[in-house]
Amino acid sequence: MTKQSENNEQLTHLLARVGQGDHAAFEQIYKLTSSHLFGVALRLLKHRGHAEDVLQESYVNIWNHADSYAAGLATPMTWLISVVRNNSLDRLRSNKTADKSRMTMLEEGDSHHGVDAGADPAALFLRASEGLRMRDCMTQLEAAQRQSLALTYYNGLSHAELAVHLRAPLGTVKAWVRRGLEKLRKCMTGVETAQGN
Amino acid sequence: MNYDHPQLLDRLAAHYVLGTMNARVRRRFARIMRNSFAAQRAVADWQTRLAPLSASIPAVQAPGRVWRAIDRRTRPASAARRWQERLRTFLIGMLKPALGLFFGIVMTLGVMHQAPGTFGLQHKSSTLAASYVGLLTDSTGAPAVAASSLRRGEILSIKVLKPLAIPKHHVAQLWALPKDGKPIPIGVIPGDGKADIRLSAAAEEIFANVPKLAVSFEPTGAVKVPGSDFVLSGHCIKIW
Repeated sequence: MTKQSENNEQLTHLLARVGQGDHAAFEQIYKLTSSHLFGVALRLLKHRGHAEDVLQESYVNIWNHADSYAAGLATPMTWLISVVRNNSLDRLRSNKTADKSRMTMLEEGDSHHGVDAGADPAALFLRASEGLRMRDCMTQLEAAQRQSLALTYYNGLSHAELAVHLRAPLGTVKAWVRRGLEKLRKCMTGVETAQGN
Repeated sequence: MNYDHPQLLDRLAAHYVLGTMNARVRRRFARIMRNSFAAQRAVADWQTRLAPLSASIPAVQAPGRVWRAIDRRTRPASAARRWQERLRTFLIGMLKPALGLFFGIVMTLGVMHQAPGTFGLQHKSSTLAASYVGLLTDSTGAPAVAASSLRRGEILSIKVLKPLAIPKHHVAQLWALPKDGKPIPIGVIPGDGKADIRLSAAAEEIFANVPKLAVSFEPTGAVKVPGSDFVLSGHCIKIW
């Protein structure tokens, strides 16, 4: 059994206990996953206070909805990341004042926002694909498609924000994102099928 | 917009997971997802595809105050808990019979009003026996199938509320989706009308850890795992 599948099995077991109201299991999940999930929230929100709020909200969601986690649909870590990403994206999109400030920031070409955002999205994108089965799929993307996917995934940019950031027409960036996703899906479906055989 | 179209659903799910949707479109898709198992599945597929991208994001230790706040919200402080326990003891001692009667009547009336024919309760009884009940909806959220079984019964009664367009050479297969584990095939349901499915064991043994039911169209013949998307899904709840 690989380390990853062991971790998944442990988290699945802990989530099942959390679903039954086991607070000790919940605390254990927090210890095992909060650093990674705080990194994910901080990456998208680029504001420590907001990221702390979202992390808190996400773990309360996890406590309240652990019994609805469907092991057949996604691994526990994928589910936990999704809870944090969704809350982060909702926060980004719901705050109109912040949106305006983000648009100004993007127009001025400044991708940082008070907190060190770490590596740039393209570097994170390539690093994530190294050693993963998606590496070949990533290399099949055109540069503009890869850049668009990286900026939206890591920086939480909407289509409109992406157009401003890349100084390209909205229709063009939408097409880059759409084609990038299509290529990724087709390629990864092929990889999964090949691995399944 | 026709959200039943798998390609459209796949595209919307991809944009939802990637995060390119604006607030309004995001809220609308989240609403669709709440009622559509196909949308939930499309989103889960994209979450699985894109989750590896998070692996390269540097981990950052969250300050201790975050856990303390979470702990406060999920596990009330001991003093508050003692108060809650006193209140609970009081309520259980003094009001339990009244509350039980009140909720029993409300729930029974609600269920009888929704699907009296399914449960065969008209003019027979004022209380509902301990049962498992499922209400499956289609991708638009419209009720399509009601399923019910006595807690220790071995018959699952099915009532099709909205006729199913079952493709030729296919059957509508009902699945139980346990909290953890693979979908369990329950039986084949008709495209219209009512049916009784004989369960392989007492309902309690099958549905005790099943929060959801779903239906997929499968080629005629025995199937052990779903081979296509779920066309209907809904919660499975205990009534007792």
